[in-house]
Amino acid sequence: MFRRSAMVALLVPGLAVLAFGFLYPVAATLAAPPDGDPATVARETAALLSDPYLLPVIARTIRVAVVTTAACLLLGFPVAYLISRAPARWAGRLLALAIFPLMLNTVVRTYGWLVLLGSNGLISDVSAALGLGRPQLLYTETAINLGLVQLFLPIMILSCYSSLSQQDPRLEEAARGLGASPGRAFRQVVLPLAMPGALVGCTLVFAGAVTAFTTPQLLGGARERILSTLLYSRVNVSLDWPAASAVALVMTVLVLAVSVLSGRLTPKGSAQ
Amino acid sequence: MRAAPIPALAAVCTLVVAAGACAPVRENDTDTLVVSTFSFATEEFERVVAEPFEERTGIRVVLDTGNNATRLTKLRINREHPDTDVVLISDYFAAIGEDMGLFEQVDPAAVPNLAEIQPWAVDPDGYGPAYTYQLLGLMYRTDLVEEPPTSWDALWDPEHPGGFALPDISVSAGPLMVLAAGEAYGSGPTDAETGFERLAEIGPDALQFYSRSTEVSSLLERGEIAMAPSLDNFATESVAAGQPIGFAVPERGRLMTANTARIVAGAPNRAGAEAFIDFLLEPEVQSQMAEAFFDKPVHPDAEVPDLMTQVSGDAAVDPAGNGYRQGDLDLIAGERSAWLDRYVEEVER
Amino acid sequence: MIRRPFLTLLAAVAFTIMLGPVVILLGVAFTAGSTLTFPPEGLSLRWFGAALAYQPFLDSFRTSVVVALTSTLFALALGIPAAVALHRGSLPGRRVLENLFLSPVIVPELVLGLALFQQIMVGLHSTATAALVLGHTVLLLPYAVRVAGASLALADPRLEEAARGLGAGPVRTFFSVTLPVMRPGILSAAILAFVTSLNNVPLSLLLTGPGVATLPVEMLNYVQSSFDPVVAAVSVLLLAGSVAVALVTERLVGFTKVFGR
Repeated sequence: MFRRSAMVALLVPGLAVLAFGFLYPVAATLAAPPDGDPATVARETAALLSDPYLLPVIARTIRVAVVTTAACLLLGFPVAYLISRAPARWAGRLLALAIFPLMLNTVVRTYGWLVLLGSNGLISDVSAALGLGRPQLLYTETAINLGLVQLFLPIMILSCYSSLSQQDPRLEEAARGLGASPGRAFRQVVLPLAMPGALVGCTLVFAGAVTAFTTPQLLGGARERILSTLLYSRVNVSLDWPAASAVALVMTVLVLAVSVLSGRLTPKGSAQ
Repeated sequence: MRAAPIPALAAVCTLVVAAGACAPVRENDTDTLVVSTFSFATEEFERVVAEPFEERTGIRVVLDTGNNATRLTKLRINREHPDTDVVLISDYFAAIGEDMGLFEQVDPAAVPNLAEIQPWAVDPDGYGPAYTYQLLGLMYRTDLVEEPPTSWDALWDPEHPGGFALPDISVSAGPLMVLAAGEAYGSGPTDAETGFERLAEIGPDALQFYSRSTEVSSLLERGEIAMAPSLDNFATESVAAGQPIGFAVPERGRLMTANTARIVAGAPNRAGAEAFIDFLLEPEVQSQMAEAFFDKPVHPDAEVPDLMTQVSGDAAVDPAGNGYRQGDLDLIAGERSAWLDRYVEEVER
Repeated sequence: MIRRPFLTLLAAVAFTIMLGPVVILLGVAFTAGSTLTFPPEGLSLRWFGAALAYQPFLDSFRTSVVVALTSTLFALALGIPAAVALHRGSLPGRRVLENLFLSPVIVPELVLGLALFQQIMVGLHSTATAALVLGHTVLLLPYAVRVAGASLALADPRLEEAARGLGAGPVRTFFSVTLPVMRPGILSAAILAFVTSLNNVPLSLLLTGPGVATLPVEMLNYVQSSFDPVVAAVSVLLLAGSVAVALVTERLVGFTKVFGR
């Protein structure tokens, strides 16, 4: 319809910016940071993947991501389902309530946990009042999980809602009409059709949890290091750019793997 | 070919922005002085140092702030075309930078105040001097600790109330703490072996390893910890803000760190740099810095606010006379990578 | 009324976790005391005054808005034509090109920030602001292409063919027929992009310079060294702004339409 050369011209500026602002810097940094070379980065990467003191960091990152994704799915899916089946007036408001936290930055969203989980925070005070002492909640892996779940629930809800809202609620009613119990109707009609949305949600949440920085930094600190906080520490604190590149490499590969896996698992014809 | 104007416009915009974004290279620029300095208390620094210097010399001062590590790395990367003149950096990082050949020596004739400051503050190799210093001690909550601690033992005392934090090896206080433990419990301030051994004993119990000195104030304020090794200017700041904070000068293991002023090798405005360093050492300016952000002066004629002597004792005026000394900088700089690994493996378990 | 108690319970827990900490923080902003305790000790607006007087917050807010506006504009200016080329251009290797435009999503933002810091700021001596605009544009480009592409897909190509058949050139057709149909989609993309840029932390973390930092980064710095309610007050102010934006979006486009069907 349009001339080929015109089409190409439309693409060129975008591609140029991508090349200059994304492809070139990332490739250069991952392979050869300004004060290192590919050999050093390779060596640091090997060290990262074999050092008994650094492997726990990778393990923790993955563990946290898995727990966060599972919790988001468990808690987020019901929210999406209830909203999709609610009357339109309620649906809009509930959805807005679930989404509005996305409008705030991660510092704001995470900071409230310091007030809740701190040694003199709300939960600690309640616990002491109940005679249960003051448990250490901050600077633990649990704190990071809580923070990340809070952060990513809206995304999971949105993804699941996107699938669920496309379903015809009469399908479920039909199943009930044919004699299925509510639980069975849910399991055999609603869940399978909601799979694509849930899968997208899981992918986004997992990738997000692997790469999150602010929340693990504020709630986990140096005690519970994960890949992103390790990266920051190596850049800003240890002066070790090749080592930072190694961490960056591992993080990128992890996210790439999740995306590829998700692509494989997505049933054909339901791509978002 | 009639491509829509928007993408072409966007491309042009991008190029213009990119071109304008590249900072111009400075060469023999005597009108501006670029000072790389610490990122905390910048407003006060501008008020007390940068603006008065500008008024007196007419040289425009531009500050580049950040933490020690990033600024040193920037210097390293820009070695061929330095765009910074003066670097204000902690002595530990200055030693590392010296090994990398990033600084040039100072001409004593151009910095006359060098002759007036406390002798330990003058660099033996002719590089820029220390212009303020901080003492390492135990910062604690006066309301959470029964008796004010008198030595580092409080950290190893299993009965100590509340939690505690340790410095990460990457902050100034980190290597200093290793050596302080070495002096207190081992053969002396270079006994890193004992230092690591003893820190490894309490490592697992530390609530946090702080990588910013200001984090300690926050942790103490929130009651997450009851004590932590830290530098006394942060203690003084908290006390000035009305917090229930105390600072314990340990019986044994007295180490201090200093902020040094160095001239960058190949600095575009060398004369301005020397004038700036001389300015930093003037008694009046030193007194102002002490008052504004509780950095202890190296010039004996400078005045130290009473609060500082209240918090840190006599060492606030005469550190050397009170048994305080700088950490062995050659040792710390030389062993840097080894200690980085050791700390992670042995202490931060 | 509660027909599915188990699901409702889970949903209630979800909302508590999502909103609880934010509500608490907002409440703390009104405290008359000087620490972040909940419930707050007395009520006062003093921390709002403190927040609005703190120069680094004001400067970084200005930086954030400038960067967000510029990069949103750039992203749309680059992304919309790209989407047109991809969806109407019948180019070979369309899939590959499309994935290329969506690829920044794969790389962790912290890594991209590091790359821009090392290569653009340090390597090419660029200013922090330029690096921020470049980085945010790259970050927002996938959104722009994706959303523009989606709304382009909604536009009926036969309308365009009809316009061409009536003698309109491709450019005129685009501006008179295609673009108006895409408008709601572009608007949502613009708002989404603007908010994303404004709130961004990891990408902007390392891209700082003398007097240049984005607001969330400045807030993070503050939070790591002080524990007073100033940040809570800033959060309330930001929330008020966000609610305003959300209401506008609801009016113009409708929430459920943007995210569902």
